Amino acid sequence: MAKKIVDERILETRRKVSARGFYLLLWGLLIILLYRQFYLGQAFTDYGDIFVLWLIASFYVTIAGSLSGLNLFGGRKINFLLVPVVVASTTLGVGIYRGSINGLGEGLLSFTTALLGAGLTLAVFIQLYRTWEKRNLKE
Amino acid sequence: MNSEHIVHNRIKIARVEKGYTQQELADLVEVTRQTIGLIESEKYNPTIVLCLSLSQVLDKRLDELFWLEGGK
Repeated sequence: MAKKIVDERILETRRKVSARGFYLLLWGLLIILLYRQFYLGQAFTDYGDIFVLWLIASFYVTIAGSLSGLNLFGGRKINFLLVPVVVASTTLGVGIYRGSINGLGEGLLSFTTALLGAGLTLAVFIQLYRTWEKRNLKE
Repeated sequence: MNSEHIVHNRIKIARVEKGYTQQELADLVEVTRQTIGLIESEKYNPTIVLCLSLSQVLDKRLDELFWLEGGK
């Protein structure tokens, strides 16, 4: 029986191809979700299973990346003051599109909830990366 | 420094000097013949593990076999 060769180039190429396929699937699912939600106007129960799968895969990529030393922002400096601006415009955009914001009070509540969610998520991912840095990088 | 840097090499010359075919060299360092071919044509940058294996098998120092573009 011929000796099985574990060729680094083949492994690397397989990983690259698989990663591209995975991201194609991940972004494809996102497009499908947006299409179902906003174009077809389907109820969440109609696409909830795809959404959960997409959410798990997205979290896995981000968490595993942060725990393996991939900075969430690819090493670039991010102006965190932009976070409320991004959250506000997204909340406003979605709220207006869906007609779900009735009045300033509701708008502010949606904005605050989204901002807290985004802030908390960012903090968790940044902390995961810092944990990796402490464990693996020494001055 | 990034992964797109071109690493030049003298693998083919060193292999011929030793009298190995691509397949024989591939067997010695436990990769496929195609990988050796791609390294020789500078279309694939081997890992440091494979570079060291090649340098051992071909009896050459690492810097005699590989160098970065703009080097010697």
